[in-house]
Amino acid sequence: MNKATLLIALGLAVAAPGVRADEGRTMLIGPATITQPGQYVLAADIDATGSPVILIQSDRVTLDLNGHTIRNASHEGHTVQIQENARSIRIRNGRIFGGLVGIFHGVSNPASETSLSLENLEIAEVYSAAVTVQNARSIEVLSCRFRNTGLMGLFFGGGIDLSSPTGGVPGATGRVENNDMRDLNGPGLSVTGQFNSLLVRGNTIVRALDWSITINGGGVRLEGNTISGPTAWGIQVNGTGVDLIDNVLSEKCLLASIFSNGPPTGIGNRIVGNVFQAQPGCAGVDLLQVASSRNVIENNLIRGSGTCGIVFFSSASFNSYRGNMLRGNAGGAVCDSGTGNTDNGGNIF
Amino acid sequence: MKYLPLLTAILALLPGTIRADEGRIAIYQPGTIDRPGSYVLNRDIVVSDGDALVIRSSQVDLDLNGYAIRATGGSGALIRIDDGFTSIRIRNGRLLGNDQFDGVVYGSTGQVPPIALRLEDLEGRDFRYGVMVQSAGSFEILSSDFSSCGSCVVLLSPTEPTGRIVDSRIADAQYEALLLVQSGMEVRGNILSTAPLSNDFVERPGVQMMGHGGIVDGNLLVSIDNPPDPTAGIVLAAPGVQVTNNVLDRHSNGMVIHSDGNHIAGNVIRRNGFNGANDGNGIWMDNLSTDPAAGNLIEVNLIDASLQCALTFGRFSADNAWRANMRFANGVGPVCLSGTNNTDEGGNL
Repeated sequence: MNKATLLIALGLAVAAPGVRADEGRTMLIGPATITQPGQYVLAADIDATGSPVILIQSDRVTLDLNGHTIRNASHEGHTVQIQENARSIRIRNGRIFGGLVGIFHGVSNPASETSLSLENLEIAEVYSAAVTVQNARSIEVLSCRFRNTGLMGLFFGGGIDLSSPTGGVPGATGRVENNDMRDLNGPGLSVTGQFNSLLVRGNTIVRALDWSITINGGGVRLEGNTISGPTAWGIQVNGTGVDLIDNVLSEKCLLASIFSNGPPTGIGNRIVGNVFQAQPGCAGVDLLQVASSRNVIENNLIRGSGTCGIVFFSSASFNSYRGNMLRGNAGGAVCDSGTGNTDNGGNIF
Repeated sequence: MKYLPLLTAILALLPGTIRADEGRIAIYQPGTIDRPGSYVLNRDIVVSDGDALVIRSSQVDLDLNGYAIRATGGSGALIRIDDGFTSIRIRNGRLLGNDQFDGVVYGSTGQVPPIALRLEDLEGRDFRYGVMVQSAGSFEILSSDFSSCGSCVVLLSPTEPTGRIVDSRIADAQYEALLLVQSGMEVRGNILSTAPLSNDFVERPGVQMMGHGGIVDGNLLVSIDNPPDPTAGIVLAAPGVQVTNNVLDRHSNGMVIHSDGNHIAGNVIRRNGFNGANDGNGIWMDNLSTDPAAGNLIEVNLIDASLQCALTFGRFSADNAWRANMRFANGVGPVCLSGTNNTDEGGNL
């Protein structure tokens, strides 16, 4: 190897935005546009002042941040942006700080849809949401941390925002598991649109200044999540076919609202085995509100309400409750202003 | 080629670090990490006294790369994170103490800013404290093994919620396997054991939950017989915890409940009080005259072979309920009942 070759090799290693690393992966050391399928790996932290820092314009891209951090001082655009129609994208193993949205996939074309996997990421200090994905046909968000979002102001952005502006993607599925979200100026998880199957399990959401989880749609199972923090509200379900199972909600006053904006939404959900423990001093505030029909509410522990343990609104009809522990609520166990809501036994008053 | 030795020599002179594969910075001796980045060990590190690695920067990813950080004498911490730094991930290697060292330490006082810390795929043993964190906003131990500690994992964050200890083994703790002064904690799928010192006479818990609103699910808990030192599998000192599907074996008391609004369901609790101490209850519930343990629901547990009672409600317990539990071979009886309005809701075997 002569001097020139050595210098060229050294120069490529430290300067070029896309050189080959070992294992055949393409190294990135600065802002980049990815236009070809492949595996890409960050070889250094990136400090950027323009958005997007990484723009993905190809299908079948794996981006490994390799323990590095992308810092984006601009809040005019998104830090990692996935172009419409780019499918089968995987991003993992590093940090994304700053930008308007940390990872963004938006659509203007009704037919556009994506499959996206996010894993072992930390996203923070963003001006809007940590992750915004529209028209996901398949979405996975696993073992990520989202914190200090919505820096633009109250309600400007939370953790994960999944929406379907075109009315939902047939066959859409997803998993949101084992994530940690805290100090959010928006919801921890917001879902708009019907999923065929979305599993939301084992997440912790703390101090979201909005609903911690809001579901407008259905086909969602919410299991084993913990929600706390003395601000805002717990879980809002405005959908059909939502399983709310074995979650723990505490430190707030209004912990769950099973609502309806009119048929067929808000019908036929299961609320089973949850702990709803309100914070002290919730006088006059409901803990669990039901304003829709044909829901099953069973084996929950509901305690500390400022009114009743379960409050059925006038629009609530033909709901069933059984086996719930309903002691320790200021206004009694159940307040029922609806129609045909039935105690099916085993409740503890 | 004649320049290569020169280049290597220059890189090697950089203090403690050298560029490794794919842009990660290699560490090969004790020292301080004072810049954000992705670091990787490329050999074992041995320390005879004092701290082995000090992290004095945020946004650090440290991959031990299968290597070990080892103490041969003296005292200190194998990894110390200085006050105020956050977004740290440490993974994939071994931390080997000498009974005088601590494993991973953050916080010189309880007033330090909260850290976001993830520990993953670590093996550690022979510590005073395996992991000692004074303040954590987000804390995770995943797929790790800490054993033979004074206290294996201590988390002291009374004002900062959330954290996750999952799929790990935390074993042979002299004082407590997990002491969690933090709310919203998820403790799931772990193996947890205590091995108290002789003639200590202080109750040593597998898990002590001192923050509200957590989940303790699917863990195996056992204590190692060392009469007459008392142990407890799970101690709840804060409200709203979901304790489900755990297996507890051979403690003085299986569970000790001092708080309100907990849901204790589906656990197997056996061989209680055969530890040489004269307690011997499956679940023991009691607190203070001014603040009785109240509103807990105990259902569908299997409790057997208790020296005293399967369920014991102390004088200062109120408004608790139990149902559908299987209880047999308990020395004094299935239920030892005092307190106020604690009720059998049926279905017990």
